[in-house]
Amino acid sequence: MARRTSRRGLLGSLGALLVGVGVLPLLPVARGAEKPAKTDESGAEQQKAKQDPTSCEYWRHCAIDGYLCACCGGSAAACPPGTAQSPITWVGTCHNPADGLDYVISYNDCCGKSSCGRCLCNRNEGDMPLYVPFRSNDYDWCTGSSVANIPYHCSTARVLARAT
Amino acid sequence: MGLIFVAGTPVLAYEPRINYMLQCLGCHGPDGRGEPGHVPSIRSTLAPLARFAAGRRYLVQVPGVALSALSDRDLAALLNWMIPTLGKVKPEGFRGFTAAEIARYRRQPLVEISKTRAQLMRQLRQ
Repeated sequence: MARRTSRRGLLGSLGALLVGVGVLPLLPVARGAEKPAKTDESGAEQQKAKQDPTSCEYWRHCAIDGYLCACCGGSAAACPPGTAQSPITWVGTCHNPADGLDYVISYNDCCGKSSCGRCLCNRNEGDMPLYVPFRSNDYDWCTGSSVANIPYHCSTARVLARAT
Repeated sequence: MGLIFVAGTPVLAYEPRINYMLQCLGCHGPDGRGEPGHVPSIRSTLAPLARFAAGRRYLVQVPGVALSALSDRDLAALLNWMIPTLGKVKPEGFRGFTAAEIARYRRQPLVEISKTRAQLMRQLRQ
């Protein structure tokens, strides 16, 4: 034992253990102080995010590309005051983990004010390149509306129906 | 949502009402009224166009229909749902589309889209 170990080695190990013990309690605190992490692997956090309209992981946001209206003074279904909803919209389906069903979601843009700038999400599931125009969400859907003028503010995600 | 096997390949099939939402509603709106000045209403033109050959051909060849990701059979079902539902005619008031008719027209591209449409609209007004 004495041949294989040394006092220095023992002190070093003890030191590492002390530092390690000191760091461990910090970890959850540091993690908790961050914003709901998109890369968080813990199931509970992920499940919570899937029901939070201000999260990119919200179940209705599976094909979202833009700022979330829920972070911009509106909600997942309503435009913030001072903006108008574009009637021309991108439509797709999303899976709701709460009931295990698929729903038709309409991503109506809210227009007429400059970019909101909060909660930028870009999940784009089912999005196609611009050369498949009917399935591409890269267009500014504020264009082509008579009420809503061109400036893009944020996007809603309205449930239209169950996808049957 | 149903799982249908076509020639051994599983495809996700939606009912026509849902396909209308996914493929058409984005521009034509929930009731086919469109957006004045940008997207023409299809409510008053669907049924009259389905009454003669050139009109039927246009309904299938118009890019939103011909280039959609739907199969010929799903497109036939979609048009046969749209015409009575949005066009406000009784289902027995028009001749339904078959997948074969869709297939025939769909594979001939429509080059002069606006010109063809304007000509058909003139015909409808007469």
